Amino acid sequence: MSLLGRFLDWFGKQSVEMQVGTTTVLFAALFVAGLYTLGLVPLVVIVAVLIDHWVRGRDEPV
Amino acid sequence: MNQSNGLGARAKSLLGYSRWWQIAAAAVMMALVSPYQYVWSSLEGPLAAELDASLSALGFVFTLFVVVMSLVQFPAGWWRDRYGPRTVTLTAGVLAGAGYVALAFATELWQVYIAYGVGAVGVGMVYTVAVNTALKWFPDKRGLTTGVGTMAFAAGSAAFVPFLRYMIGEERLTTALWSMGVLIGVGVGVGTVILKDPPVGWHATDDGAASGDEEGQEVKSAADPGDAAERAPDGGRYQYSWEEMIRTWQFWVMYFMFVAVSAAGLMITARSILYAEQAGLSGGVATAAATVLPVASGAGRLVVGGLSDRFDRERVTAISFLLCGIGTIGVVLLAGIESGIGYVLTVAIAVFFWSSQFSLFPSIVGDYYGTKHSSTNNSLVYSGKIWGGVFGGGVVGWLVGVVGWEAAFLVGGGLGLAAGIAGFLLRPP
Repeated sequence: MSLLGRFLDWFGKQSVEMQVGTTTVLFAALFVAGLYTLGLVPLVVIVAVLIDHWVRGRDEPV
Repeated sequence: MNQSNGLGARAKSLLGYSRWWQIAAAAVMMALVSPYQYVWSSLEGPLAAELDASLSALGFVFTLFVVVMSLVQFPAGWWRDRYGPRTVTLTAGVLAGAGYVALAFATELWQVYIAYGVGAVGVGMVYTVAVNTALKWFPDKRGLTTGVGTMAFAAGSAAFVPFLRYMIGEERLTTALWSMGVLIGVGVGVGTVILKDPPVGWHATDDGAASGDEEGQEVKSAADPGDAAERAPDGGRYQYSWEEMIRTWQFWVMYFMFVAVSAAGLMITARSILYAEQAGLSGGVATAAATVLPVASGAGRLVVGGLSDRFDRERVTAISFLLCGIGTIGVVLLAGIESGIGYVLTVAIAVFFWSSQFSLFPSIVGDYYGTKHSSTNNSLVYSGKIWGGVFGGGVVGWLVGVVGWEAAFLVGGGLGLAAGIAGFLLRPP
């Protein structure tokens, strides 16, 4: 199962507060990391996560 | 901080009062004309009932509004750059006010189209005047001040919606419309008294004297170019005309970005409620998504615009649009796992980062091409909204039928990512 698939499984089981906090922290971290790395971190993260999801997205959970 | 204080003092010596009053007037005018864009969804149903027409018959009124409002900014901007803001704003107030007054007394469908078209001309004129007032008076805070004006455009309708709904409930739609028209006309007219343009290059001289008034003349900074504290943000920058601007590759990259990110943002604005219903999410989720949309849209313009003054503007723009793309893809993923709160959050995030385009692009245009012709220059970039609207409205509707909701939204997310990646190419000309 892909990293994104695992994250979504985990995300779906969390409380509303946890979902709000996780989403806010995730996007804030991507924005700040982008500011200080010429935007490379969010770009690399999204490309890596999407490739991983495309390759392993249909695998069964380990 | 010292530079801002210096510019503030210089502006005060030119105006006789704080330059923030220019922004306040621009923001109030933007808020006054905002119902044309943001109240339409509340208005079209009752209007259709009043006229005994179908909703589909009124379907192109909003498209007409977007097209006219975008196109009129070029001639209006040219007029303003050449003759100052007052005459154009007064004309805009008359047209924007007359549009709603005429709408109140429209009895035929064609009259609605004419009334909204006339109003759209006024709205486009107010929009270009307000945004470029910020650019001309605040070279040190372009992102923040254009954010204030464009946020007022997004959030100003919040005051009109409850009034309109109340009046519709009381079956007094005609009174509501003509009174809003009068308020718009009078309010914009009053703002005309305050608006004034600074001399070109006012921020680049030590004594505040006008310089570089000739067409295309290079404005030189009197300050030492090596002294960053004294040098104004575009001091010494060549003042590009629109013909010169479109010959730079930066304009075409920005135009692509504007179209791409508009497409993603307008798609979410127009379709996220329907998508929530299609994805099996509850009615409460759709309502929550509709509620956060204007809030996120207004906040994004202000917050990201303000951040772009403190950090590298091109980098903030690129990251903002990347995150708009990621947020749009997130909408699909979270709809897929039927997470209502996740859906609303990702809609809010995508809209927050998309809407920043309305403060970022005018600021970049001011940074790159100067302020002398900023109204015409900005209007050309803004015309990309027409194509974004065509995608967000018509093309997405077609795509949903052909490839489904998920794929259509992923295309929108891809466009946001593409706009972000293109942003990394931007360099001053």
